Amino acid sequence: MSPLHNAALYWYAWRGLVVKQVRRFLRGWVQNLLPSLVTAVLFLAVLGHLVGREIGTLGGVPYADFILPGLVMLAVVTNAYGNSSLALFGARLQRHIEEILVAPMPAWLLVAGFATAGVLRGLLAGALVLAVALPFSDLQLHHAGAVLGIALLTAVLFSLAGLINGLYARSFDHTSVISTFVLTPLIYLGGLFYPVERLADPWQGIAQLNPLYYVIEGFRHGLLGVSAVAWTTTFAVLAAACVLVAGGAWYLLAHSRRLRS
Amino acid sequence: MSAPAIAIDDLAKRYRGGRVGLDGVSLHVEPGAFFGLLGPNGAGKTTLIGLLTSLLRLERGTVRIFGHDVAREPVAARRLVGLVPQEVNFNSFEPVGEIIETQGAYYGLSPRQARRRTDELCERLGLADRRRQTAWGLSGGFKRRLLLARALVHQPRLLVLDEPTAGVDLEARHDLWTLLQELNADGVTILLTTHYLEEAERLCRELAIIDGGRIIARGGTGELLRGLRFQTLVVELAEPLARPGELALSAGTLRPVDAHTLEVDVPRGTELNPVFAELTAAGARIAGLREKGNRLETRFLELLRERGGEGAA
Repeated sequence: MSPLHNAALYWYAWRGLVVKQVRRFLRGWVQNLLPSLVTAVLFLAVLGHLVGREIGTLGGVPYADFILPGLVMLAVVTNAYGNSSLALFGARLQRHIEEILVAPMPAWLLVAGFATAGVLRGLLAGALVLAVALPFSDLQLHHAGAVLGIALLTAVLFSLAGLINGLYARSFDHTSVISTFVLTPLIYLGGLFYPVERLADPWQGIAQLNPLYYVIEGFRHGLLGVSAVAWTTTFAVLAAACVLVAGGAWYLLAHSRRLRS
Repeated sequence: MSAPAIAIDDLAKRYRGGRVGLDGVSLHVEPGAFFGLLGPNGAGKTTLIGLLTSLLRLERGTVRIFGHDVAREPVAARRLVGLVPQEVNFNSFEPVGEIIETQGAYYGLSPRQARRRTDELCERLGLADRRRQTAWGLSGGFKRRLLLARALVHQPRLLVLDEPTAGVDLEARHDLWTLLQELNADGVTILLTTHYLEEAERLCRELAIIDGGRIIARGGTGELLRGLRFQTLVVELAEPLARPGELALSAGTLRPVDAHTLEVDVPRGTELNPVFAELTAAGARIAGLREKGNRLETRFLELLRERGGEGAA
């Protein structure tokens, strides 16, 4: 087969993987997308709007604006991660992963297909949260490129991580446990509701060990122009982490006996 | 000379816990063949298919599909194969048409090509009315048709079917047989595993019998059947015999089944006139005669028994 023929085959196969997964999460939009919106609206209405009036401003911006970047990232991270982990685990459980294993697709294409669908769901959820937040906020976008870049890289990173989770999960509980008990708490503690710099030592130092602190702060910098961490730092760290996790996901999908025994 | 459709050499597979899946299997199937792979449960049929279609990881040996090594040229090899698995393995929440189209995409068909092929296959396999229905609601027979449509979407040169008619009603089974014969006539090489030996005898021109992870017999269907040592005849009597238990035959053994039925085992090739003469002389009035069971089934059981005997020896 010519390289051109292979490229066409891979393109349509990748597209097939993505379309299948996007259809899946859109079919179940009530359980896949709505929870992120409801959570964001509740936080913005209760904390941002009502409690925020008492707090006033943080870092020079209204409190509702201050928490918005963290809420968007919460939606991006949990949706990208959840989509990939559930898609791969569900395919293994129902055995329709076999449709893919018999097809002429190398492991990197599987990673690309599943991860892209996770990225699309993460970005869609983030965009929806941003859209519903607008009535609560008088947002002035500081750096559109940084916002898009960090959101994209965050979605890629956690979509790839979710894929590894989906490969090793033995039950549906295993696909949600990391998201519920690790990612969400880390986002809450990573400066979503308060500036980590205001914490006393040693808590500030401990909070700065949280990788999601840099994701939120970088995104906040891009969105609002105020942050303790420059968006460029976040961008560089995320890009490096994406390469690392993508390599790991590819290796595991290519060699794991959980797919081919 | 064209490469064999399937060239398997010294294939071995051992599962966790040490269970042997395959133990040094070699098998060559020529392009255009209709090949049957028979064996009891756990013999290694599905393992062999798993290795052939890349569902399982190769440990020892080589598998080539039309000359393409599945380990070294997986993309080229997999493009040529379509698999109808033993168990339903599609996403039951997806519509029938989407399942077929998506599989087409996985094999590099453009959306337009995939849609056109899906139209053709739905029409040919009687799925057109169910195209928008989720697969969940399909009956067992239609699920089997969907598995076949999915396997054919990319027009494979080799079609592998792992017990495709299990749980399918008689009419659907005959429809499937006709379709497989048409596909084979169009040049598609077919590898079929089945528990219905009548199916294998009717469809397959060549057969291999696998047991304990090894091929124990291989040849043309006629050639294997010529190896039959005994045949069992069912004799229906117009009237019950007075003392059937005391009846003995010089050319075979006789078993009364009930008052009106006898079974007679005779060596294959035995002239039957003396058998009838002995039965008639003993007072039997023969009302009907048929061969018991399926010839291939008899040979299959003989081979398994022989192998069991060797194992015990």
